[in-house]
Amino acid sequence: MKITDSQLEYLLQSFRRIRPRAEFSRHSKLLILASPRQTHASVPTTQAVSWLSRALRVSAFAAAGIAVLIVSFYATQELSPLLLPGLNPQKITAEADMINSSVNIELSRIGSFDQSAQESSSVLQKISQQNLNHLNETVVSGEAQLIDQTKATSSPADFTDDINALIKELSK
Amino acid sequence: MVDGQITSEILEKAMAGDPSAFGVLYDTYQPRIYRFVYLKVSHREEAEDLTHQVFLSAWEHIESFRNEGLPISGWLYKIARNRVIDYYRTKKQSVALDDITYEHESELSLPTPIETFDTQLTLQEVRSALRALHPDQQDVIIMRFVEGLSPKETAMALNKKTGTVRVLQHRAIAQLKKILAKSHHENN
Repeated sequence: MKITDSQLEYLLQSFRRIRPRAEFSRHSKLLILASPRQTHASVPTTQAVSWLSRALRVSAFAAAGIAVLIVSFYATQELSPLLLPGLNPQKITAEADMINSSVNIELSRIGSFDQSAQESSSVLQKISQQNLNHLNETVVSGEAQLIDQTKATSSPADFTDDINALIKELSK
Repeated sequence: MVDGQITSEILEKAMAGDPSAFGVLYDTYQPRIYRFVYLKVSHREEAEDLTHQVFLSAWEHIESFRNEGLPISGWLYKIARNRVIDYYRTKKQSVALDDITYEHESELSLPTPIETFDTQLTLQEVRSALRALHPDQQDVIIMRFVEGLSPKETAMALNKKTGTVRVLQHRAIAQLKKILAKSHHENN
């Protein structure tokens, strides 16, 4: 004969007679109600701990992000070729202006040189077009005859006196 | 959220931290929780200690009960079940059936013995058979038949579906019968 469901249910319901000791129940209740408890308005300890841990995690993450930004900023300041002191945009601009001005000066000098060269070229051209008496044989021979005549008419002594007088005059 | 014996007014006061209101909850549900825990651990002092921990935890966290979506009894059973699980996890020792002290032996004597197989069947045998079940099956049997919870309340307390509870109950009943029949055959 097998036990039926109702019989088994009866047996199981009989366990309801199990009860705690009255002394234990009284003592336990007093201890529990006397224990400090978080009020409804305040944050339970476990929630506060979880919030605090979450806040700490967020703060640590934010601090790490800020640290990364600071390090990358200083790294770019020190290492970036675009930000080398010699390539400071303001300095570059100033140097460019100086170069421009020096270039302009040079250009103006070149211009003046060019003008002088042109003038000289025109003068030389004029000269080249004219008869050069000092290179003309007729003129040179005529001047030689003139020098010879001067030598004949004057004695060497007169010539020397003339030279001494000229020297005295020049020395004054 | 309102049980048959606890009004919503008492529950609200208890959740607001009113000690007298929580005292009513304690008086109403403490015997049930103790019974549940005792049938699981089969040791009076351990059952008392665990029951105290259950209600201490409930007192400290009762404001969070509103978010659980359970009746107050289901919530307390849930705490008790977790405490028992932690108890076995920390103990890490099996309790031999022979070492179990039946402190409630006098309470367990049946007023009307059941005659099966021409022999009286005691509640000690039934409790031994109960301890041989899977923990989930134990919980369902205790909550459904000892404490009289509905399948829905049992499911909510165990964080399972109602259908799962019904399947566990069916298998637990079959297993209990099998164990009791075997035990009776061995005794004879």
